[in-house]
Amino acid sequence: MDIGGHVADLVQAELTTADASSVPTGRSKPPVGRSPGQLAWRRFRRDKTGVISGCVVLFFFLVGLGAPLISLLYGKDPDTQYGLERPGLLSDTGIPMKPNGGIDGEFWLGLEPKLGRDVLMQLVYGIRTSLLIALVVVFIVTAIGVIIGITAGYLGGKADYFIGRVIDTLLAIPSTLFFLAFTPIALALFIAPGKEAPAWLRATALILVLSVFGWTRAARLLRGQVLSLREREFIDAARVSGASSRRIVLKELLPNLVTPILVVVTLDVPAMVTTEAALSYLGVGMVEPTPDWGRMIHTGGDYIQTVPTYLVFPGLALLIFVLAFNLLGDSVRDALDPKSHR
Amino acid sequence: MLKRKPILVASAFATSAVLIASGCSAGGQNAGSDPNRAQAEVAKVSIDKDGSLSKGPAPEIKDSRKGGNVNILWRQDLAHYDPAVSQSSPDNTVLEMISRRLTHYRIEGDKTTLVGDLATNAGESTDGGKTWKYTLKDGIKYSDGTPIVAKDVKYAVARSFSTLYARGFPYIQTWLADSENFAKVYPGPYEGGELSNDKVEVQGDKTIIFKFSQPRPDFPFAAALGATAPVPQAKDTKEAMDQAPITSGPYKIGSHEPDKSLKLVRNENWDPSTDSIRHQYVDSFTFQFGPQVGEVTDRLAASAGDDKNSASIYQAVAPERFEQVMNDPKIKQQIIDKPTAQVDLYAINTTRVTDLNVRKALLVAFPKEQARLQKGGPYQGDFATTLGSPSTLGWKKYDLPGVTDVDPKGDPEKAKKILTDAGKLGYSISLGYNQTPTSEKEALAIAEGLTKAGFKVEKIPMQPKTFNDTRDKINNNLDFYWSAWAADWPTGVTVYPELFDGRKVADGRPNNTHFNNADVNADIDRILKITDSTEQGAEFNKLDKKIMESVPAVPYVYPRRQLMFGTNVGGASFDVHTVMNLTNLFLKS
Repeated sequence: MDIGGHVADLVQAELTTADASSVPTGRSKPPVGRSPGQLAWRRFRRDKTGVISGCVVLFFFLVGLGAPLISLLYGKDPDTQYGLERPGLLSDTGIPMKPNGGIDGEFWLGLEPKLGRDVLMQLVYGIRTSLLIALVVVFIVTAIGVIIGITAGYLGGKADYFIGRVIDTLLAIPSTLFFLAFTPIALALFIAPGKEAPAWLRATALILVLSVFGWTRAARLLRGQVLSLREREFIDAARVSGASSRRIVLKELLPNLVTPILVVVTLDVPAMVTTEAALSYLGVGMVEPTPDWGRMIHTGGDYIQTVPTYLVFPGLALLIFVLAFNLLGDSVRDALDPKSHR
Repeated sequence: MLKRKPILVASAFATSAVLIASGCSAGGQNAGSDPNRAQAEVAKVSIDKDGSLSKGPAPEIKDSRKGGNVNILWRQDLAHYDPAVSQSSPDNTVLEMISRRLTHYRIEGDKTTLVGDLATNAGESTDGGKTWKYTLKDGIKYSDGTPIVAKDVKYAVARSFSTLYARGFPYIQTWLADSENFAKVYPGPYEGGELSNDKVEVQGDKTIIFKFSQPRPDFPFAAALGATAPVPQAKDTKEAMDQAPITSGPYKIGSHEPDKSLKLVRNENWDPSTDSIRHQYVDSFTFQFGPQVGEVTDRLAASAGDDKNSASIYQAVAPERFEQVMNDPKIKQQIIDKPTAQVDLYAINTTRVTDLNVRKALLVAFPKEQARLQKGGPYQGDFATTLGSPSTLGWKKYDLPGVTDVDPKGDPEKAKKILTDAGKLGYSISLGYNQTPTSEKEALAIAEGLTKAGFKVEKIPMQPKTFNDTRDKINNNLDFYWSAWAADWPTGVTVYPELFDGRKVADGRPNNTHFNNADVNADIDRILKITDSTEQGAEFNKLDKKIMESVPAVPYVYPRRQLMFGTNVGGASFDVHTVMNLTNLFLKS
C-alpha cells in the first residue's frame, strides 16, 4: 500500500467524522460558527419539496392524534351506521342517494355504501390505525436491526456468520403467506373460544409478525456499513489509544450510522403503512369495526363504478402520505449528507 | 436521486388526476321496487303419471334457431363430473344436460312437471309407493351409439352404494337399504356382487322395478338425481368416471381442461323424439372457468365481441352492481330474476342458547332489513318468516304471534324488554361470520341491532374456506351464525328431516341449530309415512310452525337469483335448481 493512498484515506476518514458527528471540530472555523446539525437544518429549509412534504407528514400525525377532537367538533363518529339508522340516505341496494357518494354539508366526504358510516371519520380514525402500527413496528425493527447489525459487523467472525445465516433464513420465508397462516393461529392462542379478539390484541399480533420479519433490512445495511467503518484509521486510532468497545461503538461508530438509520426509517414507515394496509386487504390485518385504510381501499374497488369517491378518498390519502414520507426521507438525507448526491 | 423526484411527483399527480376525474358520480336510485317481479310463491310442480308430457320432442322455444357457440362464464370448474357423486349447483345443471336419468323436470313457462326422462313416465306404483316400476323409452342411446338398457340403470344404482361415491345424494340408497349406513347393508358391486332382485329387479331390456320396505312416495323425485343415470357395467371406470362420465344427453364432452375450460359438443346419437325436456339448439357450449362475479357483470353488460354470445350460469350480478344494472333499462333486458328454493336462516345454537326467551329476543331484535341491504337489498330476496321455502309443496304462510309478526327492521325496545323480564340483559352472543367484505358488513349490521337490544355481541371472523366446516362441528363455540339449505326436490322430505331431526345431530351435518325435540322427531317419522304429497306438504307446514314455537333459528330471507346473458343470447330461463337452463339457450343471429 503506498503512502499517498494512506494519507488520502486518513483525510477522508477525518472529514466523514467531522461532517456527521454532532460535536463541532473547531478546526477550520467558518465565517459564522455553525454546528453540522444547524447546517443540515439550513439545507433542509432551503429544500422546498422537503418542507412541503414535512408539513404534510406533520398534518397526518396531527390529524391522527386529534381524531377524537375532530370527531367532537364534526359531530360524527366512525362506528355509527348513519345510512341504516336514517331512512333516505341510502338507496334500497345500499348506494348513497346524493351524488358523489353522498357528499354534503353534513357528511363532508360522503357515506360508506351499504352500512352508511361517515367516510371522513373512517379516514381520520384509519390514520391512527395505520400510523400507530407502522411507527411501533418501525421503532422495534430499527432498534433490533441496529443492535444486531452493529454486533454482526463489529464482532465479525462466528457471530457475523451466525447472524448472517439467521437473516438469510428469515428472508427465505415467504412472509405474506406466513402472516396469512400464522395470524389466525396466534390469535386463537390468546382468545377463549367464542370470544371476540379485542382490537389491541390484533394490533399486537400484527406488530409482532411484522417485526419478526422487518428487522433484516436494517441489520444487513448496518452490518455492511460497520464492516467498512471498522477498518478505517479513526477506529484503529481509538483502539490503539485504549478506548473500550462500548466507547468505540457508541461514540465512534454510531454517529457515522445516523444517516443510514434515518434512511431506513424513512423508507420503512411508508413501507409498513402499505404492508399493514395490504394485510388488512387480505383479511388478516385489523378487522371490522376498527377503521382501516387497506380495507377501505379493498371495499372501494368494488364500487369504482357506482361510488368512485369511496375509493378516491382513502386511495388519495394513502398515496399522499406515502409519497410525502418518501420525499421527506430523501430531503432529510440530502440535508444530512449532501455529498452523497451532489 | 434528485432526478427521481419529478418523475415520482408527476406520476403521483397523474394518478390523483385519474382518481379525481373518475370522482364525479350521480346519486343512488332505488332499484328494486318493480311491482311486477316474480314473488316467492308456492310451487306448481306436478307429476306426469300417465306419461303424456314425457313424450319427445320438447316444445320449441319461440324464435329459436340452431347453430353457433354459447360461452358460459363461471367462477370455478365443476367439482365432480360423475353424476353419482355430484350434489352441488350449478354442477348438476351441466350434468343433467349430458347424462339423462330415469325422471327429470320439464319446465314450460311457470309450470314445472316431473316427467319420465329415460322412462316413459314419472313412475308407476300400485301399492302406495312401496314398489316403483319404470319402463324405458324406445330409441334411447349413449353418445357412443349403444342402446341404453334397464340393467345399466340398476348397475348405476348399485354402484352408488359404494363408499367411493359417498359424497353423492344418499336418498335412494338409504331407502333401498332402509338404513342410513347403507354401505353396511350392501357395499356396492365391487365388493358385494349384484344388487339383489328383492331391492331392484330388471325385467328384459326395458323394465326396472324398485322395491322398498316402507312407502317412499317421493321416489320419482329421487329418481331425477344422478344415481339413476345409467352406467354399463363393462364401461365403469370407477373414480376415472369423475373426469369422463358416460353421456347420453343432447351434448357430450368435446374437450376439458380442468379449472380452465370445458367444451360441450352435440351428441349425434341423441334423438330429440325421445326427450321431452331438452333442446339441441347451439352447436356447442364453451365454459370459461375463472371469471369472478364482478367481471361477469361487466363483461355481459358490455357484451363486446364474443361476450355478446356469452351467458352466466349461477351468479351474475355482484351486490354492489345492482344499482347500476337494474337502473339501466337496456341492461335490465339482459337479466332474469327469480326466487330460489333456498332459505337463509340465522341458526341459533340451541345447545348453548338454551333459554327460549333469549332466542325470542334474538328473533325480535334481528335487523333483517339492515342486514339484507349489505347483500343487495330486495335483490337478495324477500324476508323469510318460515323455516321452509315457499317453493316446497304444501307451504303456506302461517301466523304465529311474537314470531312471524316481528318488525323486519328489528325492535330493540321490545327485545330489551324480553331480555330484562328474563333477567338476561347483557347476554353474550358469539356471532360467527364468514370473513368476506359482504358478510363482514352483514355481521356489523346485525351486531349493531343486537347490541341496541341489550345483547353483548362477540363478533368472530371465520376464514371463508373453512367457514362451513367449522360451523358444522357440534362444538363450534358459536351461538349464532348464517345457515342456508335448499331442498333437493320440491317437497319437505329433504328439508325438515335433515335440518330439525334431533337424532341426526352430528359433526358435518346440516342441522346447525342442534335442535332436538322428541315431539318433533316423532312428528317427522309420522309425516314421512304419509303417501299423499299434498297432505304431507300440509303436515310439514304445520311442523314448520311447531318448530318455530321454539325459535331454533331466525328466518332471514328467501334468496333470489339474478342471471345475466349477452345481447345475442336468446331463450334464457331458469331450470329446476334456479340455475341457467342451458338446453333452452340459442343465439339470435
